[in-house]
Amino acid sequence: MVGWGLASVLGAIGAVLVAPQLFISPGMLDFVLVYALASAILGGLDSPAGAVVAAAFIGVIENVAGTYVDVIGNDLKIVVPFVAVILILIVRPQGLFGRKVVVRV
Amino acid sequence: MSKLLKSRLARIVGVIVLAVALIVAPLVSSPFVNYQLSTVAVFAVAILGLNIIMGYTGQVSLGQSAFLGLGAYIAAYGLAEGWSIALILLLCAAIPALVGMLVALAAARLRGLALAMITIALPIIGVPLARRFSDFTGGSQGATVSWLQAPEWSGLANDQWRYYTVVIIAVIAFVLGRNLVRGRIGRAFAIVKGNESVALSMGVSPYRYKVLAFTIASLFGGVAGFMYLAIVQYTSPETLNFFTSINLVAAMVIGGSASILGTIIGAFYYVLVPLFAGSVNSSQTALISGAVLLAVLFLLPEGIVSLPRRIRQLRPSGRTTPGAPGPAADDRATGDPQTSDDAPADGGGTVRTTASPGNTK
Repeated sequence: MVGWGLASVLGAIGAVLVAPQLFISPGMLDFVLVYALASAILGGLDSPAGAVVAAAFIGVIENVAGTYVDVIGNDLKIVVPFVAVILILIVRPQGLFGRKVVVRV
Repeated sequence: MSKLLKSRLARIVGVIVLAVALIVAPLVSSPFVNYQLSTVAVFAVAILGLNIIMGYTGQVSLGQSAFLGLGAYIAAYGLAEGWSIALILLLCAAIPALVGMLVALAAARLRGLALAMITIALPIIGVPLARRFSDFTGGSQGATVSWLQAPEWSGLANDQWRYYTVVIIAVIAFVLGRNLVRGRIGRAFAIVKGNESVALSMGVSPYRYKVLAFTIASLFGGVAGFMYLAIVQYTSPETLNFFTSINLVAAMVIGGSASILGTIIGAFYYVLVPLFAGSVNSSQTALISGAVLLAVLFLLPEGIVSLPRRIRQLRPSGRTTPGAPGPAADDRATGDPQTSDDAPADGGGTVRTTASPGNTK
């Protein structure tokens, strides 16, 4: 319960911070859902710092690749972070900074 | 013994009623109704694939729309090249299955949210790729085709002919899917879902069966894409949109996961509820659909397919004993009364209840 509340608070703060830079519309943050999920999982679900690092990584790699690699260009730039996330998850299933969870049977 | 005979008889009658309903329906309905029924068949196959990976094997997959779109694009490309329809259908099944298997070979090591992440990336990557490779896909405009015209000798209208085509494919898919989940492989899926360590100790490789389930799910997704193109005659990058995947997952959960009957109900839900919401108030379609979704999940957490069981639980007289002469309709609704009473919680019970899908009609 508290977790849901905190998640909503943090989401709202994020929206308040980004709203002055964008137009507000009901669907404006639809895609943030996916990016947020990607960065949380990439960073490791039990590591808040990891989420920050991963979010920066995703944002930077997407735009750097989109700008400097001609083949990718503006339309394919969204592919880059997701392919990177897939490759990293295959090597490290628990995310970059996550701890390995061992379940007792 | 006589009860067994009776339930088998009820099953046969149910199948016959269903078959007659499926055959007669397009002849007496308007083209609009036929179109909607055909769409239900299309998404029923897509949800069947999703149910095999999520409901029966317990792995998260949010990528079904990518395979749907892939199948639709393969069909559109094949038609443009003038291949025969049988070859196109084969490729629509084989190529998505291959892609799904390659993804699963890497992804099946993961579980939970990491797996969700990889599968959700498929449609997200797929949409810009479909736009980019416009030679193959027609770019943002999409690909329009005109095919499956009713031949002269059949005396049918185009919509009826297409209805029969997709319904035949859907029935075959459902028979195959049902046999799959009720056989040896289905039991292996169930144990992989239940506990992977137990599966391993019983000589069932979780990894191998997860890859298999994912491959089959992609195969059904691709076939659904073929059917989608047959009905809609148009595909665009929006077909792959990941919101479609999420809606498919929602429809599967609402219908009832790990249940063939639930899959069919889910497909009806997927097609009809937005239609119903649009007819109530066309500007608030999404709002009303969302309200229906929440209502169903609050009242029936196990999906609509659990409705008869739920009613029986709520009734003050309590459980009807298997031998008791309950209302005939009720018996038929749950197929085999014995299984539905004995095992309400696990997947096996719900699978059995699909024995006579006739009562959904």
